[in-house]
Amino acid sequence: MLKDYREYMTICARCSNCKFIPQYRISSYKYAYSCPSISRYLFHAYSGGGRLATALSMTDGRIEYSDNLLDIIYKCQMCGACDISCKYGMDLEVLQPLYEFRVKCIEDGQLHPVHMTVIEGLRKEDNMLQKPKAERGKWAEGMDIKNITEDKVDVYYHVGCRYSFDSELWPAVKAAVNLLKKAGVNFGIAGKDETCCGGRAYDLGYLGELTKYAENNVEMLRTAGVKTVVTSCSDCYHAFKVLYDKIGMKGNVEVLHITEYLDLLIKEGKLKPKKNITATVTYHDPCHLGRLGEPWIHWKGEIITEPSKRFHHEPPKTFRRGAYGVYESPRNLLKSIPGLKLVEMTRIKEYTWCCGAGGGVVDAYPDFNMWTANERLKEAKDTGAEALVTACPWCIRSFKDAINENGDTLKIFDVVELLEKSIQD
Amino acid sequence: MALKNRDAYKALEDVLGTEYISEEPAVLDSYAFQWGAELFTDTPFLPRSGAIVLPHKTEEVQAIVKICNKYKVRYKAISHGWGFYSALGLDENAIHIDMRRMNRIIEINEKSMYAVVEPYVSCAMLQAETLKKGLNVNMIGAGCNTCAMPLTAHQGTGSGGVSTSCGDRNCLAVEWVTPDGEIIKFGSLGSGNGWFCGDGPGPSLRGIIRGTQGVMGGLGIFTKAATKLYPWYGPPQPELEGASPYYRFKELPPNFDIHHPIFPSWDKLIEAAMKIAENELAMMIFRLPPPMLCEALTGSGDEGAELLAEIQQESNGRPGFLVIIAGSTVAEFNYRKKVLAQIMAETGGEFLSHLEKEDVKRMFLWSETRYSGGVREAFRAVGRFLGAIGDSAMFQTSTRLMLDCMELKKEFQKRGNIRADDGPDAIIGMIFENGHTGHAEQLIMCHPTGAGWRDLMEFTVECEKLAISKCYTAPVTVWGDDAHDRWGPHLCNYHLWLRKIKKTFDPNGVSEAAMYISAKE
Repeated sequence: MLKDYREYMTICARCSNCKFIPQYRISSYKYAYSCPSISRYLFHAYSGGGRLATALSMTDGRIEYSDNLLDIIYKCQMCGACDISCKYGMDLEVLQPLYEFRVKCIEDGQLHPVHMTVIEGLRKEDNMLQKPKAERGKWAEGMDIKNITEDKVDVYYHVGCRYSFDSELWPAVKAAVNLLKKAGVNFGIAGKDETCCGGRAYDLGYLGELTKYAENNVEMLRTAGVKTVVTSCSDCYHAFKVLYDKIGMKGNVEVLHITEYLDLLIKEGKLKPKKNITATVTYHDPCHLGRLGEPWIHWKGEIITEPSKRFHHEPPKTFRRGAYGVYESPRNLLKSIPGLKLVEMTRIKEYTWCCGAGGGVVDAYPDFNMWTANERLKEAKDTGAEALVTACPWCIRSFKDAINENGDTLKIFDVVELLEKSIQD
Repeated sequence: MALKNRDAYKALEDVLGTEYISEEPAVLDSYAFQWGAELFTDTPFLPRSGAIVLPHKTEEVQAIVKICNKYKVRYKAISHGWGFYSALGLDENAIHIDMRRMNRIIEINEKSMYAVVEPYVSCAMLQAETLKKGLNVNMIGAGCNTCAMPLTAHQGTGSGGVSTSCGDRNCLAVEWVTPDGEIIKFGSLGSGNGWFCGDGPGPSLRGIIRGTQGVMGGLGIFTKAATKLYPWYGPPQPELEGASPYYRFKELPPNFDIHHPIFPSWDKLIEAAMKIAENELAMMIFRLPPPMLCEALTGSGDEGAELLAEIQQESNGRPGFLVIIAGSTVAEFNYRKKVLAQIMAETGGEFLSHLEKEDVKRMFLWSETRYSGGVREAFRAVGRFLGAIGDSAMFQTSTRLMLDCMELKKEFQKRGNIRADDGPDAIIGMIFENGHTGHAEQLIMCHPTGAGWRDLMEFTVECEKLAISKCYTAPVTVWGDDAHDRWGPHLCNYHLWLRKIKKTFDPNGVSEAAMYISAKE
C-alpha cells in the first residue's frame, strides 16, 4: 500500500538525480536526462522525486484528486529510470510507491477514461489491444507449431498481446519460431488460448487484473507440465519473471526472454549465425527487459529510524538497482552475426531512455509516446547507425510509428529478425 | 492556495502561455517539499507558493519580474531547487520561477578557459563537455547535480577547490535581471568584450551580487554567467565499467593517483594539507569524515557501515583526507608523487590501505572527479543533515573552529536526538587555490522527523556563539535578517550596507529575501 512507503517518500532528498541518467554516466550535455516525463512536462511534479512528494502530499491529506493530479500520475511510462538514478546514491524505493499510487487511484475509483476502455477490452478479449480473442493465434497459421494445451512440450513460447495482433510485427515472432525449430527445441504455443500476462494492466494500477492473469497463466503451465517460459515480449518477460514473483505466484518456472534463450542455443552450438549482414546497428534496451527485468527480491521487515543511529532496514534489504537486467544476451546475438557492427547510444542498459509506450502512455497520451520515441530516434541516428534494433514489440511499434510520422529513413528491427537472416539456409 | 493576485496570474499566463504556468496544488506541493522544511514547519513541506512559472529566455524572465513589480508579487528563482533555501519565504503572494527551460551551454571557450551557461546546466552536464576539450569545472561540493553557474549554488565550493577554486572566484561576466526588471550585463560583457572577466573592462557589480555566499536568490535573477575552467589531464571521454551503483574507470588514467593519508594528529593533518596545497601538488584535497567517506565508497548504507568499522579499526582515531594528484606529463606526475611522499614522511602520514586497492582507486577517482560529495555521503545514512558550516577564510582556522564545534557536538549527541553512531568527527574540509583560502564544516545528521531538528538548530546557534567569542570570521550560512543582525555588529556593521544594496536594487521588495537580507531599517 502507498502508505507503507511513507518513510521513503519522506526521506527523498529532492536532489533531482531522478531526472538525469546516473550522474557518473553523463557523457554528454545532449543526452544527460533519463526521465521522459519531466523532460516533456517540465514541472517538478512530473519527476520521480516530484511524484513521491505528490504521493506524500496525498497520503498526508494535503491534496485531493483532480484532473491535473491524474495527469501527473499517468503521464509517466513507469520506465523506472528515476528509480535507478536515485538508487545509485540512496537506499530508497522510487518506482514501487509510484505503482502503489496508481493502485490507490484504482481503489479510489480515480480512473483514466482511456485506460478504462483498455481494461474493459482486456476483461472481454483477454488482450490489451481491444482485438477479438479469436484472432489471437492467427499469426501462427500454417506454421505447424505444437500447442501446449494439446501437446507435451518442454518450453512454452508466449507471444504476448502486441506480437499476436500487430501483423506488421509478425516477422519477428515467425523468425523466433523458425529458430527454435531449427535448434530442435520441443516447444509449443497457446495459440488462441494464450491470454495477456497482466503486466501492462498492473502498470496502469490494476493489481486485480495482474493477479487474475497470473493465475490463468500459471495454471495453464501447471496443467501442461511446462517449467520453462520463453517470450519475445519484454513486458511479458517482466510480468512472468518479476511481477508474478512479486505477488508470490511465479513458482519454480524458469522465465527467459527469447534473446537469452537464443544466446544459450548459440553457445550450445545448436544455432550458428553464418551469413554476412553488412550493416551498422544500434541496440535499444527495452526498460522491461533491462532495468525492470532484474529479478524480484523479496523483503519483509522494518525500516529502523532510531534518531541516534543511521537509517537502516531490519533484516538488511538488498535493493534492485538495475545491474542484473538482461543486457548482454541481445548484444551477444548481434555480435554473433558476421559483418554486423554494433554501435552504442549514450543512454544504454540500466540508464536507457524509454521508447515511450509504457505505463499506459501509448493509449492515453499518444503524442507523449511519439515525443519520447522521437527523442530516442535522434540519439540512435547520432551514432551513425542505419538501423535501430531492439527486443520488445511495444518499443518497435513506437519507433515504427514515430518514423512513419516523421518520414525518417532509420530502419527498425527485432534482434531475432536479424539473427534469423544470418542463420537461414 | 493559488496566487492571490489574479491580475498578476493572468498577466503571467499571457507572457508564458498556459503550458508554462501552474497553480495546481499537487504541482505547488512538489515544490514545497524540501529537505530542511522540517526546521520551519515540522513537516517535509514549506508553505506553497502561489504559482510556478517556467520561463525560456531572458526576455521572459524580465517580463515576469516586471509583472511581479507591478503587482507587488514576490518571486524566487531556482535552478535545480535543492534544499529549503529554494522555497523558503514563499506563500500565496509569491511565485516560484523554475529555470529548468533555460538549460543551454552558450559557449565553452578553450582558449580563454571559461564556459558560459544558463541556470539549469548542471555541473555534470558541463563537465561532460569540458573534459572533451581538456578542461575541468569546479564541481560543487553538494554534487554534480547542482547548477554549474557560479552564482546560484551558494558558496560554490567543492572538493576539487584546491585546483578549481570556488564560486565567488570563478564568476566571470554575468547577465542579470535586476530585482526591478532591468537586464544588466556586467564585467567584460558590459562593454561588449565577451565573457572573459567579471570586473571589466566594463561595469563591475560582482561584489554586489556574489561575495562568499552569494545572494541566495534574494536579489534578482541571473540568466547567464561565465565560469572559469581548469586543466584536465585525464581522458576526454572517460571509459567506465560496472553497473549501478559501482561505476568505475576501466583503467586508472595515466598520471593520476588517489590516496587517503591519515595522520597522528589534527595539527599534522593541517600541516600536510597546507604543504600539499602550497606545493601545488594536488588536483583535490578533500577532508571527508570517516562515515561519509565510507558512504562514498560503497553501494549501500549497509556496506557503508561495514566499511566504517574496518576503516575505524585501521585509522584508530587518526584523521585523514583524500588527495588526488595528477600530472600533465609523466615527469610532472612523478615529481608530485615524490614531493607527496616527502610530505608524508615529514608529517607522519600513512595511506589508508582500503584506498590503495586498485579497483577502489578506479571507482573513487572517478566518483570524486565527477560527483564531489553529495547525496550518498550526506543523505543516504540518515536522510537529512545540517550543522555548523564554517567560514571560507583559511583551511587552518576553519578546521580549528570545527574542532571546537566537535566538542560541542559531543554534548548534543548525548541527548539522543541526533545521529551519534558516527562519532563526533563529521568535519568536512577543503582548500581553495593551492592554499589561498579554505573551508570546513561540522555536520550533524538527523532523521527528518522528530526532535533532531531542534537540537540541530540549537547546535548551529551554539557554534555561532563560539565562533563570535573566539573571533573567527562569519560562517557561510548567514542567511536572513536575524543571522545578519547577529553577525553584522562583529564585522564592521556590514549588514547595514547590505540592506542599502537591497533597498537600492529592489525598491519594491519583491525579490524574496528570506535567505538573503531585507531592506528593513
